[in-house]
Amino acid sequence: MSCARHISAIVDHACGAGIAPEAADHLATCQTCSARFAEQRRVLEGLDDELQRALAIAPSAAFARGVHSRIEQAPASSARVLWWSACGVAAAILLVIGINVMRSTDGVRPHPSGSAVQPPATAATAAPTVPVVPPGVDGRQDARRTERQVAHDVRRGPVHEGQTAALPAAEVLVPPDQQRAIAHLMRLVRNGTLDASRLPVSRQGESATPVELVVPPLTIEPIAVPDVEIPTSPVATGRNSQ
Amino acid sequence: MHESASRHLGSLVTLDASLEREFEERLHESSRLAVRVAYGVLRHQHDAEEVAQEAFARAYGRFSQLRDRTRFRAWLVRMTWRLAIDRWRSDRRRQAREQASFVPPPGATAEDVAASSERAARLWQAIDSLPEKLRIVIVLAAIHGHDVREVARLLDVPEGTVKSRLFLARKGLAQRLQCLVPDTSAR
Repeated sequence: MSCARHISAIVDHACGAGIAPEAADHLATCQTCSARFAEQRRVLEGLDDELQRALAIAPSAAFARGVHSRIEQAPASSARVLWWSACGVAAAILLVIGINVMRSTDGVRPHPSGSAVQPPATAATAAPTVPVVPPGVDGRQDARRTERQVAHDVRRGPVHEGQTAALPAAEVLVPPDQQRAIAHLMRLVRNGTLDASRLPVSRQGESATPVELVVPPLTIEPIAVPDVEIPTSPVATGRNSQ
Repeated sequence: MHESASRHLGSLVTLDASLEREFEERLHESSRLAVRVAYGVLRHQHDAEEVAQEAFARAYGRFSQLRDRTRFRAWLVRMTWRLAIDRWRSDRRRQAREQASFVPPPGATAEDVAASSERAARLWQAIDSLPEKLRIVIVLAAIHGHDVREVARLLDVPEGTVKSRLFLARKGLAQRLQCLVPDTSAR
């Protein structure tokens, strides 16, 4: 009997799938399968009807009123969101303007750590006399760290006494004693006491001849380690000798 | 609507008079569809209305941005479905609602009511267990007796996709409800 071969196709057909010609021929000729097909269709249509009945609901009379009241409530929240967005945008704009003003007036931008940092070093200003400083700590700490780093390099070999490390490509730290002087000059310029144009300061991008910042080279003194006589045996103490 | 909107002239989301009228028409003609779509997920009339109202309120806010207004119904159906699904997932009282959602037909006996209620509960349980893509197709096909073309238009998918999903959904339902006709010839 070929019914078993086609039953799956016939059930699928009842569920809405297409049917192969061979199965369709069988369905047309076999009474058992056509009855089965009709029964399956009836069951599925019953499910569809039940679902349709369950979903046959109508909105209440107050539905449109509810929509209107929700619409009336919506603008307030939108306005709040817009107000906060406007505040955020304004704050961002002020921040950008502030940074630009500082850059344009000072020529020295603030280091994240609070220490004053020169603009990116040019070939002229990047004389190998200023210590390399990693960013992130205040100037004094930077200087100490640099000394330690250089001392470390001295101990390790390639850098010798009286030399300093090579400059990085990005930033050059102004030593703390000169920071104070520069800050004082900046205050005078801001107050109007001093004419900025008379200062021998060059800004990046201008045609003026860059003035090299004179920084004394950091000299690393070798640590004098006294000769200490180390006892050869750990049991050479008074208690043990008794 | 126009009055309520004109009270908020200073607010941010208002439509001009012609758009207001158009939105009112859409609200009138599509509210039943939106409520039924939400009901197909939530099975609670009050919740379904709330979700549909929320969908309309959102649609109002973006109505002026909708370029092709003829697609409003499809847009609304998808938004309502998404909101209803979100609500359904977050709603912990769903089980209790399912019990209360069945409305018996008029003139039915107590036995009929009990049997119908049980059958309806099983049917909804089976529908809930279907994948979401199949579920929305079978619910939309049951609403207003939408045909394949209309369901395809509402979901913005090809008709062939709707046909195959409808087939898989029906077969899945029949398997879950154990109402596939048995293969008697195998005996």
